[in-house]
Amino acid sequence: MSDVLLKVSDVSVTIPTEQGTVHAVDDATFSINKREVFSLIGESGSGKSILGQAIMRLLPPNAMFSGKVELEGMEISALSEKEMQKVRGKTVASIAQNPYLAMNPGIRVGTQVAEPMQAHLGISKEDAKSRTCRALKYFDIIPPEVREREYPFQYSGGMLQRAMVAMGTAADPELIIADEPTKGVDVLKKRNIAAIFQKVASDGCAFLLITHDVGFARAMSDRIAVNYCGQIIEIAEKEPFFKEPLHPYSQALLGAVPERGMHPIPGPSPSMIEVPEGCRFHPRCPHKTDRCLTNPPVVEINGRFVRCWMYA
Amino acid sequence: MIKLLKNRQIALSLIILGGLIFMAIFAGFLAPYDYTEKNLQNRLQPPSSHHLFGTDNLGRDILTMVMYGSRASLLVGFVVVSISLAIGVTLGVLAGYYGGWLDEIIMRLTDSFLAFPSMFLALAITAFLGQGMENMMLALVAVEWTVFARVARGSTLDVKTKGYVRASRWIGASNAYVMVKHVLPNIISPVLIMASLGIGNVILAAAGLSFLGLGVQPSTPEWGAMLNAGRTYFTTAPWLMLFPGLFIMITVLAFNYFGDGLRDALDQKMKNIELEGRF
Amino acid sequence: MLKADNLHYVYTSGLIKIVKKTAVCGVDIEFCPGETVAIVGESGCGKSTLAKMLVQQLVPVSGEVFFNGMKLTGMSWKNRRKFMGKIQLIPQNPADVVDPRWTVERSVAEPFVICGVFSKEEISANVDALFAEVGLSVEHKTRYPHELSGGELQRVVIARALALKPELLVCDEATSMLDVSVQAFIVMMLKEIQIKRDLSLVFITHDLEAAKAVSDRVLVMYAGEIVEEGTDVFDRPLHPYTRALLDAARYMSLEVVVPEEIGELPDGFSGCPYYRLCRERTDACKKPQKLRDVSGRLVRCWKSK
Ligand SMILES: Nc1ncnc2c1ncn2[C@@H]1O[C@H](COP(=O)(O)OP(=O)(O)OP(=O)(O)O)[C@@H](O)[C@H]1O
Ligand SMILES: Nc1ncnc2c1ncn2[C@@H]1O[C@H](COP(=O)(O)OP(=O)(O)OP(=O)(O)O)[C@@H](O)[C@H]1O
Ligand code: SF4
Ligand code: SF4
Ligand SMILES: [Mg+2]
Ligand SMILES: [Mg+2]
Repeated sequence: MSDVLLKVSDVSVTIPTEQGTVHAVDDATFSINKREVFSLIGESGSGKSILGQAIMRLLPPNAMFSGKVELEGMEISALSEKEMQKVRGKTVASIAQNPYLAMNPGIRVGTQVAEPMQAHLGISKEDAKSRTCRALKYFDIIPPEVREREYPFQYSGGMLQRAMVAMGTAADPELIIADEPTKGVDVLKKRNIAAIFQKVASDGCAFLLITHDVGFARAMSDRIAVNYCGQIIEIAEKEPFFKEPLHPYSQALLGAVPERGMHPIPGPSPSMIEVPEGCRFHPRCPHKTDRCLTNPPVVEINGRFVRCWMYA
Repeated sequence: MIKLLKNRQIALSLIILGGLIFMAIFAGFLAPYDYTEKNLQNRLQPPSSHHLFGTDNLGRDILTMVMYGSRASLLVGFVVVSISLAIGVTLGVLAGYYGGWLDEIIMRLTDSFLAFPSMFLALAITAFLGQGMENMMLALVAVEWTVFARVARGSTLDVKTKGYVRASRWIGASNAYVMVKHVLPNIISPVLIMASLGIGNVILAAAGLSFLGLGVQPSTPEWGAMLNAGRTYFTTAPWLMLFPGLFIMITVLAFNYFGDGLRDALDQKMKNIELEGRF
Repeated sequence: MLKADNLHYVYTSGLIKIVKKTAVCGVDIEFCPGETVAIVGESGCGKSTLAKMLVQQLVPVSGEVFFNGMKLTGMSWKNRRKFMGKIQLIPQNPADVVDPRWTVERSVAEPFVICGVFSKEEISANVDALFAEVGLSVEHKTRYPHELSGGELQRVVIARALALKPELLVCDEATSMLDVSVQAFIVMMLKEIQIKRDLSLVFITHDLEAAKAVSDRVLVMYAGEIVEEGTDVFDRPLHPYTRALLDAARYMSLEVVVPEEIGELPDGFSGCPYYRLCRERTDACKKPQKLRDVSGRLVRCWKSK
């Protein structure tokens, strides 16, 4: 397996709060190959963004991290902050979940989009600017020469989102961590995003795609991971996953898509502080048995991983 | 709050300031002598084991004087800054929030105060009102409030455009409610930084005015007045000026150091809030 | 119940060179009690701007908004105050509503505090109920906005908007950061309230499947105008833009088409705004298009029959 790009082993993140310790990420283990699009879907508040932040080493200051993150064999979880800054943006780029917060309100959008290009590709200011204009035009932010000079508050939500995608894909990174890159973007423009992701991927870039858009994940990804209450509960190739999700939560999640009539999973979302004993899905699981009160093993079936007693 | 203490700069300056305030409050217990106690036989003694900082031209113990003097200096610093802060922040928030003619008037007012060098303005006012602690404080307030008004107005202009301010107006909040509940808490950190820097400046300015004989009565212990009194003996008995001067320096530096530390810490906090938005 | 006539909005920016940008251009809308309306359309076509005008957060450049026959536009803040709780907007950016220095609990309680008729106990009971209603637990209450996940913050904002029991709720992509299950949970919750209280719901969304599943009526916007409006738009799209949108959604999972180089409209072009991309355009499209009634459907395209 020489083509592994990112290897995440036993990563856990806990965050102390007044109410108790939030177990945001528990024992995450997976790897992403070069050129692979790896999607992470799952419950809102289950620690997907925190996992992305843990890889980028941009966690909240009070968060505790344990585990190992390796990028091309280099342990980035052990790098100093200074060395990490070089990795960020150049090797790993990120597209943040909330574009309003991620963009600096006082700097022109064009300048912000051009920044990673200038910093990491070593191209001149004019080159970066013309590339920025081309990227904005590609995302239908027109006329680019005018729009490039505007400030984030003058953009609509979806436009800012697209500008962020332009920024994230600009500097030829090797891994892009995209946190809900398609939210707020209409279907036609979503295809532009899909197309640029595919182009970047075919140039050799891998993706960690965090998304709630099941259709987009289905169209884009090679492998899918499902997150529930801080744990990755299933990892599978795309085709078999959508044909037959194994974990009861994956099944329930796919059953809740609007196409199937919007049926929410019964029961409340679990607390991230006092996580359910044993299998974290057991309070809501239709297949639960007594053994589900102890930690389920991670079972491997035909190259798929699933954390459930049913398959043990 | 506890996190702030982890910042070394803040912790160190707080220890020094705590010591100074402790000294001021408990001067009565700590001071080895009574500050009114004159002993002309002992006048102008150099520092010794009896009089650690020596004695002055009237034979008073300088250590005692310095300790009691910290009361006047810190009091002036805190009172002047509190009053200026109250006036300045109120006017600044009003100006920034309402804008328009109110802003125009208030800002022209601060401009006209700022047109004079601050020391000159304070001098002019005390000279006009006459010598005395209250008049001196009044003069210093007249100088200080503009700083707070400007800072508060600038930050208010920024906060005013924030979504949450508009959002609470849209559910029916009055302007007063918005100013007190949303604007004030969000502009308070730059104001606090200015306040801690301001106390240092005020103490220095007060010492300066007293040195020029415009502050407190020469008989009351005050660092600036002590400097003034020691002036004539500078060559023969330098300790008369050395110790009060040293304490002025320490106090002013500690407040400035504290303000700088506070600024760094709060900036860092803001950055952390933003940082999380980065994802 | 809420009615808007001929709304226009133009953003002006720039200090030296003034740039004007028309965001909304002649929109008429009416909402009935208990109705669910979905507004879909291109990103950047002025949906959020329209929503803000409906709830009086932006003052339209021209046009009027009526609420139960009362004219809201031009009314003073004092008079409008009693309507403010009745018409609520969940904005696209949830961070736009909550004060970063307040716990989210306090932000949700704020509407109750402002309206001033509730005791402390009532407020805290109401706030607890709202948190439960949107699927958040006690552990989230004492956090600050930046300590919540994207979807959790979005739900805080929904809870706050529900506080004053609105009669009209405009959700501007209010569920965009939620997983499909929680999204369904929230939508069902809103629908329940709708049945209980005759709440009118307006969903601005890019999720066409969700729009189809929940709405009674659909408005399609393009370039600041309504280009199509009707109850069965998704089953029988008439306007070329609506058709392109639905096609794109349908084929999303099959193939990805790289968008071709697209031209720009000449300055001062006053014809159909979709002319630039329309596959069915002819020279007749260079004339301004009116919203026409085509067998119960409003369409802004001369070709549709
Ligand atoms: N700074 C923080 N302090 C305490 N808890 C936090 C903090 N940041 C996040 N959390 C908690 O950690 C958990 C995971 O958050 P995360 O942002 O990763 O969720 P997510 O999977 O990205 O959800 P969403 O899809 O809603 O964005 C949540 O329960 C959240 O409340
Ligand atoms: N404050 C502003 N100043 C200047 N222009 C603005 C401002 N806000 C929005 N615009 C512009 O107005 C147009 C419409 O914006 P609006 O936010 O209403 O779009 P939208 O339909 O909500 O799009 P999205 O689906 O992407 O959120 C956009 O071209 C945008 O750039
Ligand atoms: S381990 Fe048990 S409770 Fe958990 S998902 Fe599997 S069957 Fe359900
Ligand atoms: S009027 Fe012409 S350009 Fe416009 S949508 Fe209809 S056919 Fe296309
Ligand atoms: Mg997230
Ligand atoms: Mg919008």
